[in-house]
Amino acid sequence: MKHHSLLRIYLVCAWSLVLGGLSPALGQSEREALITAFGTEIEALNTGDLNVAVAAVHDQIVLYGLYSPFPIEGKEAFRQAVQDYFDEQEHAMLEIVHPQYRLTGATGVAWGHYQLTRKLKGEPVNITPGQYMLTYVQIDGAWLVMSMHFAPLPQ
Amino acid sequence: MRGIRRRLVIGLSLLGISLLSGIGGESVRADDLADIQQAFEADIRLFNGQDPTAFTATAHEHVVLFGPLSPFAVEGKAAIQQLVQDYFTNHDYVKWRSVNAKFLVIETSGLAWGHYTVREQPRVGPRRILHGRYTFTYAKEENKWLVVALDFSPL
Repeated sequence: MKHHSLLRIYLVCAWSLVLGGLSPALGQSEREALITAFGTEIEALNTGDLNVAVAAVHDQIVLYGLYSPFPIEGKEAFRQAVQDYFDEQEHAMLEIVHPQYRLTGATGVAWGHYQLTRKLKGEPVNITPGQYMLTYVQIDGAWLVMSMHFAPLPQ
Repeated sequence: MRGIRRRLVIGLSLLGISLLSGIGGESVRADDLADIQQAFEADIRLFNGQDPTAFTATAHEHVVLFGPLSPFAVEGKAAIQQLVQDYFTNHDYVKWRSVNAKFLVIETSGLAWGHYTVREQPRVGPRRILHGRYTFTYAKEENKWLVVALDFSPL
């Protein structure tokens, strides 16, 4: 009798795992989830929402940005860099041009061009076009940013 | 007898759960980091030997490149190979060297980043030394690390 109970538990566990594995197919596709994650990140940078901007990055994120030649490594350093970015400006708008996405297993790449319109405190508005590439890693179904690389367009 | 059955059911349950958990996943080996480093170094050797398969020898078919040679992304192995071949055709000498190279593996995604120096002698014009930043993104497919994205930005 007891082994019937254990068999039931086994079946429940097995079905949970099977259904868990199918969940991306049942709901939002992985590509759509990546696009949503990217859009959320850009929106957070444009609205000055530090917590959202930092929430979906991996602990070991590597950032090559526009304001330092050196890489910013790790989530805490990334948080500080984004905080500094918000603090020194009156407003900024990062507009994405022709975004592209590609998935290879649990690795995602988002790339394209951008136009950054930014007004620093006490300075005129500055508009710069450039290229971006973000790479993602999928962990427990969530896409987390592994690297960001922003660069002005080559002259 | 009941005890044996119970152990048998528990054993089968654990085996089933383990098998189901493993479906669709790539195993992460302890020396993944070393594999990525070797793949990266092999690409640099190919480039410095003016081999047009540099950066595509271990690349995914749909690899994406952002680099200083074009303001647009170059997509796919064949297109990148053509770009590299054209670059070699226009140069008598090239030497690409990474500075402070770093590597990271997160599950089945990998990253190589750092700074670079290129010494080049164009067919026409003076010898040049260029500096920049790079990120190479890797994905593990069928137990092999493949380059899925390359980003070079001149400083």
